[in-house]
Amino acid sequence: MAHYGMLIDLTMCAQCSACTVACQTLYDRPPDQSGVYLLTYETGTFPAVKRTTLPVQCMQCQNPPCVSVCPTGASYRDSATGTVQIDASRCIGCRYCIAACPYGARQYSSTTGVVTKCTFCIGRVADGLEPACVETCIGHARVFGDLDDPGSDVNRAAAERHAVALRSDLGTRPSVYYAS
Amino acid sequence: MPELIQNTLQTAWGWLVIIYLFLAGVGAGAYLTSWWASNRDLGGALPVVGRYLAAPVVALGSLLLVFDLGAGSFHARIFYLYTHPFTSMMSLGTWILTIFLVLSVIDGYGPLVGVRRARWLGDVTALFAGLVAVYTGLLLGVVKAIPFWNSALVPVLFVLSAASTGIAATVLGALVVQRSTCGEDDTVTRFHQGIIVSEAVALALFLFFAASGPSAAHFSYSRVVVGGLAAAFWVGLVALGLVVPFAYCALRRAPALAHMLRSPGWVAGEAVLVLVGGFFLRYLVVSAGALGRIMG
Ligand code: SF4
Ligand code: SF4
Ligand code: SF4
Repeated sequence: MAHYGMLIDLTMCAQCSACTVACQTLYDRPPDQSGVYLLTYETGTFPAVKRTTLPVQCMQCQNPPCVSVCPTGASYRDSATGTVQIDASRCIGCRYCIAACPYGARQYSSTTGVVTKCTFCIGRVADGLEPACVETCIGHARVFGDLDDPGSDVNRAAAERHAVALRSDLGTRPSVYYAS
Repeated sequence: MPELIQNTLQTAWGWLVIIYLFLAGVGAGAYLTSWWASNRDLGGALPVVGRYLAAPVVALGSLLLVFDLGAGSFHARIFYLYTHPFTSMMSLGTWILTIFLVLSVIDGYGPLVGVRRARWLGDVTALFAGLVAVYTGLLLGVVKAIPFWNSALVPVLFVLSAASTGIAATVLGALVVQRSTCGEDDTVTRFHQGIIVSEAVALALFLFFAASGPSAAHFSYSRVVVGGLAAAFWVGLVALGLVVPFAYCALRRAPALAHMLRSPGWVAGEAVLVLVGGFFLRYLVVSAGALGRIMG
């Protein structure tokens, strides 16, 4: 039993898109789709504007609205890993989960007719590897690990850097944290 | 991928879902209209036409939804839709629609093959017709991620619109078999007028709460009332779908206009406008739905 989580340190993100490309390459995703995508936004007021990039992917919510709306059980929370997964053989492509995900993390592919998203590279993790986006990150902005283990790198880094989850007001209980 | 730095229009659902929600409402409302008409002992075609219309209209809508599905369409996998009725509104709705279709076929078409129409069956079917209408609103209403949809007033609006468009569809159908439908008697128009007024009130409340709600709900509200959807809203829904039908219902009791407004052409015209308005309601609510920003 584990509860995998990730910390993304925005101060170390080089805004290079390596994570997006690594995810696309590994999973053969079409050019306009990826498990992780970068949003750019501006903070501060002119002229002291700062452009920041926010890498967004499935937050692996512990209370995932995508799972509760799914009519077929294709979307499910895997309690062994604490991640949210999609069983493509059950997915009917109704896209209710896309409407329900507050993080825009899910994508519909009209070629396959099913929905995909970041899987936390659960196959690689089972083989003892890190997720592809973590391994490839040139700025070492990403820390992956078991949130159930108090001594894990991800837990310590998240505590030290005062990391927060996005939109925790929605009650989704994300497993991805951001430090800024 | 949505740019969730700002409020962003939802891209999950489009035309087929809009048409489906509309047709499910019309079919359910048509059934309820005939059920109501037979309880009121109204004569003519009204007590039966809605019973005939209900199943084909709802079935057509459901078929469109199946077309809208991805790889699973017409694949055995669509039966997984029945597996999660206690957690997923879509799965629960699939059950409700299926039961309604079965009941309305028996109740509507049974007499053609000699099955006597039982009163209790009509009442149970009417209950499921109501559930179909509620479900079309709850399907959107339970989605927290889209604040414009996440309102108890969406099912209220959709139920009222289902009743209104159901009356319109039944009147149109009845006119085909009986040109004098709604010509003399005002029972239906009085009832319809009450529903139109309730729908207008629910719409105003819905928009008021959206305007004063979270920023994504306000974003959707602005899009509907003053933004890119304003023409559809003011012309399609408010003017054609509510104001003109309301005026029609009110004016046809005026002695000077009574003769003209009771002609089949006017009765049919009003019914068509109500259907147009009901369609625009689904279109506006679905397409103005927006995800909220994920950064503070
Ligand atoms: S981020 Fe979206 S897709 Fe991922 S678990 Fe949460 S609700 Fe589901
Ligand atoms: S698109 Fe697939 S995963 Fe999403 S809600 Fe529908 S069946 Fe479930
Ligand atoms: S964890 Fe794996 S699947 Fe998720 S974004 Fe990173 S590379 Fe893609």
